Amino acid sequence: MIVLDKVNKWYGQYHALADVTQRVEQNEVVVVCGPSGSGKSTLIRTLNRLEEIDGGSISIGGRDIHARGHDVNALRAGIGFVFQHFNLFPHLTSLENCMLAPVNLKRATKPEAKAYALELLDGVGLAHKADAYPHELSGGQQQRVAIARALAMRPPIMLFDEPTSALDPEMVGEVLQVMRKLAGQGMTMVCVTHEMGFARDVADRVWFMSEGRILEQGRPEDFFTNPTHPRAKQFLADRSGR
Amino acid sequence: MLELIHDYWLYFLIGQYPNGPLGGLTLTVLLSAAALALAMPLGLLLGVARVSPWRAVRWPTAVLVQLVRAVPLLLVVFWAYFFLPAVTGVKTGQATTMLMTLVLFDAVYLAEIVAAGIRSLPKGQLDGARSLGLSYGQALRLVILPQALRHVSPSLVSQLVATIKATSLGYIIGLSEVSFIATQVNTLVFTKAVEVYIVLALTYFVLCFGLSRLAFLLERRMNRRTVHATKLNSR
Repeated sequence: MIVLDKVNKWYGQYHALADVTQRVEQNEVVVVCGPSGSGKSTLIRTLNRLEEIDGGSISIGGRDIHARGHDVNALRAGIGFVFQHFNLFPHLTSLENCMLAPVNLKRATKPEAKAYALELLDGVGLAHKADAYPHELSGGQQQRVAIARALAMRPPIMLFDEPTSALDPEMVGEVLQVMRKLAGQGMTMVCVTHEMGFARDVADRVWFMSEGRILEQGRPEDFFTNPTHPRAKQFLADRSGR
Repeated sequence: MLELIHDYWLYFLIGQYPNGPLGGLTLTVLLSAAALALAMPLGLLLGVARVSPWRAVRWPTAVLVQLVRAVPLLLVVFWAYFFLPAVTGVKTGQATTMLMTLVLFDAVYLAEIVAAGIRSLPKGQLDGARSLGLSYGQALRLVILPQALRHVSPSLVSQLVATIKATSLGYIIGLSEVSFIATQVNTLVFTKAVEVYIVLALTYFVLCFGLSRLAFLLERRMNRRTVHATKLNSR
């Protein structure tokens, strides 16, 4: 469904992504892990063109999304994106956050958008917070609203960029639970996360990144019990030591 | 003082009208209102252009803004009145000249305020809006500007109040706005300068204070939802 072919990106002299070649199949859940600064966020942001690439190609559903003339707004409307810092719109309620894009992009009438937004908020356990503003919600609740907001466009693909990294530990679980539920419904997902438990339980495949390259990829049971690349071994050893 | 007001109130209010051009307080109010009404949209446009992702839009705007801001309003008024007709051959009236000058000058200051408001928002707000498939224009209109304008509304109001006071510079090109009329009255009466200028000062005070109160009430009505993105989301 998503095909990356020799994707390269530079920030000046810094090689942020180096020859990344991978595939994500439909209904697959891929977890991207690796040390900070390894290019995980950059990679996931190129999938909906929040970042441009300097070489190679990325195609989604058979279409080259970085091609000249590709409608970037239509692309993004079909891919849900969840940010580390939620990025909810603070001047709108939870419900309005979830209705903004569907209504303004004419995907739904107001009543339709509202009904679906309420359904989604209910799905993330926040129906009772529909009229609350973001500042009235906890971090975990904000992130769950952000997931509902992304789902409101009915995207076939969801991208998560460290969705739990900005949360207090006790709120991580509620967000992961929503993500597990989505995965269980067959959503195609790419998740940058440090939650190795989530990767182990939910991911179909794990990509391990370091210095802009995917050094190792495989099924989580293989990756966690038997990593082959020395950097991956090191990374897992460092994490289990904590 | 009462005698003064009794004798000259009509002159103070409308100038020589209907035997001459409309002037006095009425002209000041009309000029201010027109300047605010025109400068606000222009300032918004320039402010958005100032932070545009396209260099071809951003740079010319920056040049215009910096140029106009580096010149005293007095000079701009002079130029517009004496220099512009000499170059273009089109002679504009005093009121029109003053209005155009005020609009340009004001719009440029408003633009800087609007741009500052936009820059104050975390970058994630634009990312969040764009990630949903909203165009840049939609993101500005639906997400960025509603927050940015709320953040800078006190500065916007100050700038609008300054516009009212700036109409008094029409005096130097002989525009018969309220300061000019007050000076005329002072010349006619000759002995009551303090009284005349106290009345003038009170007049400006009422106008400016009125506008800021009005803005405050409007703001409070809209500000059911006063929340600042910067408090919530870090970059």
